[in-house]
Amino acid sequence: MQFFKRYQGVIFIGVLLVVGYVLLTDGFQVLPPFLFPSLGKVVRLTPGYTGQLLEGLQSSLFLLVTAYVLAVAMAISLGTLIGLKNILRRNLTPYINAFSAIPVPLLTPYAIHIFPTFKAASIFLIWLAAFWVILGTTIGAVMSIDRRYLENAAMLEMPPRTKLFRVILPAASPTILVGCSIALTLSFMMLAVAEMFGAKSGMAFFIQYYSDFARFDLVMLGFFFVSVVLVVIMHGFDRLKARILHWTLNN
Amino acid sequence: MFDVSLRHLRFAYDKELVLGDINLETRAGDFVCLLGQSGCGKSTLLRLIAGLERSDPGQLLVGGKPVERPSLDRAMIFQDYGLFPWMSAGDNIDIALRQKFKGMEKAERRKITLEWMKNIELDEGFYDKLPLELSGGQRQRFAIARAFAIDPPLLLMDEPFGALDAVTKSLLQDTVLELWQKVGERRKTVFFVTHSVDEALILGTHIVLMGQSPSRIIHTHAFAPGEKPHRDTMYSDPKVMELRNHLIRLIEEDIQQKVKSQKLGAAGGAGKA
Repeated sequence: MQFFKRYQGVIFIGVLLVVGYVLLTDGFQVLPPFLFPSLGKVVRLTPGYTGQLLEGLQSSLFLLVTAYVLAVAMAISLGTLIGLKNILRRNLTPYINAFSAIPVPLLTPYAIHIFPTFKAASIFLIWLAAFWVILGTTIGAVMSIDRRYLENAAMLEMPPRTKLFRVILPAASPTILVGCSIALTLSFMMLAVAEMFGAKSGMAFFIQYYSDFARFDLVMLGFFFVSVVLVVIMHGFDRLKARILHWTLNN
Repeated sequence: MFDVSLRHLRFAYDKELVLGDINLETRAGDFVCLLGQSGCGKSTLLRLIAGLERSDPGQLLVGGKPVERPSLDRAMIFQDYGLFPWMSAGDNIDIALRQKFKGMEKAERRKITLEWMKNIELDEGFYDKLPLELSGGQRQRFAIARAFAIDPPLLLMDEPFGALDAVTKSLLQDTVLELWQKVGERRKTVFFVTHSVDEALILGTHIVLMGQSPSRIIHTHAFAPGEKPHRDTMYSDPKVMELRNHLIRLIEEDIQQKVKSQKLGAAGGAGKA
């Protein structure tokens, strides 16, 4: 009951979207049925393709989680170091700006050529998409920590390790987590690009595969499935974020 | 308990001279109020004593030793940002104790924290509260408790009650005085920055009045033992009121002088143009 009360706005908008889709398709047939199949048809197809969708989910999550976790760990470590060391920042910033400006999908041929397997190439591309965003926000976050927190730590003679984990990272965490959130969405988009070449399964592969056969009822099923997965993952991420940022005003 | 010695202390941010030739000798256990208008460099002087800014060697000695960096021998209470907002109020004291008393058991640290919370009249229920959940006065109480808990010989307070309402401010002034006086001979040397003449009179054993930037000391006053004003009687004590008026007059004169020199400077600039 509490769930419905809390999410009544979300449920209401969801119902509106479904009703709108039904009206535009089955109701008034405004949208072409070939590209926008009846919702009932898509629902009826679901049991038959659940296995394939779950297999795709497993494959996609492997790529996504591996790349994203690596990106988070490396970008936060490196970003903190660069944010704290003026000399590193001065010398590396032009290169960070130059490399991060290259659209990651354009690097696909290079990744396929350099990495031995499709999986490794895909992980690299997803990793890269997430890495630049988290790196940039971490550098900015560490640089903009209020000086008074650092002075407070200095007055307590905190050793570097304590200062890093008890002061610098918590103080920078609100901005770093914004970067992580954007990077997660970008990773999803990059996952779709990565699964378009050489993949044998995956959520985006499912959509691409049936699109090639003009099975837009299954494409629509794939879209719904990806949306649900994305909503669940982002919700989990938001809960984690709220837990880490429990000390801020908005949590 | 440290004495503090400032000898021809000068300090500049970039090329702008903030402190010009400050000379001051204080004894261990003194409660020194640095009084002056905003921007006169009193907070900068406090930051130099804290080691948060660097002075030239030999100009600033604390306990006979030059100040090179911040130290647990000097606790600082800031106006804001005294506590880390991501830690509970109790953990803010705990982390300071952990730094000061290496190897102390967690249970012992908690015991000391709770004792100090009791000293500042906050019960155990506040231990797990986040700074965000506390009022400004409660946050400053925790900052005071943390500063006293690590038992530094020198306590530096940078307008700690500047953002509080009058009642809370009075209560905390009394708390600080009580804690400072409690330990008798072992009492800490305190440097307290304020722009309020009344606050300086209530708290300080010594009042150091600083003039406008580049700052210099324009007047000092030391209360003889037993002469220190009390909140209840100071406004009816002619001697205290005379001192109060004298200090306010000196501040006014300093401001007028500054305004006059600014006008002259502007007129000179316009003349040249």
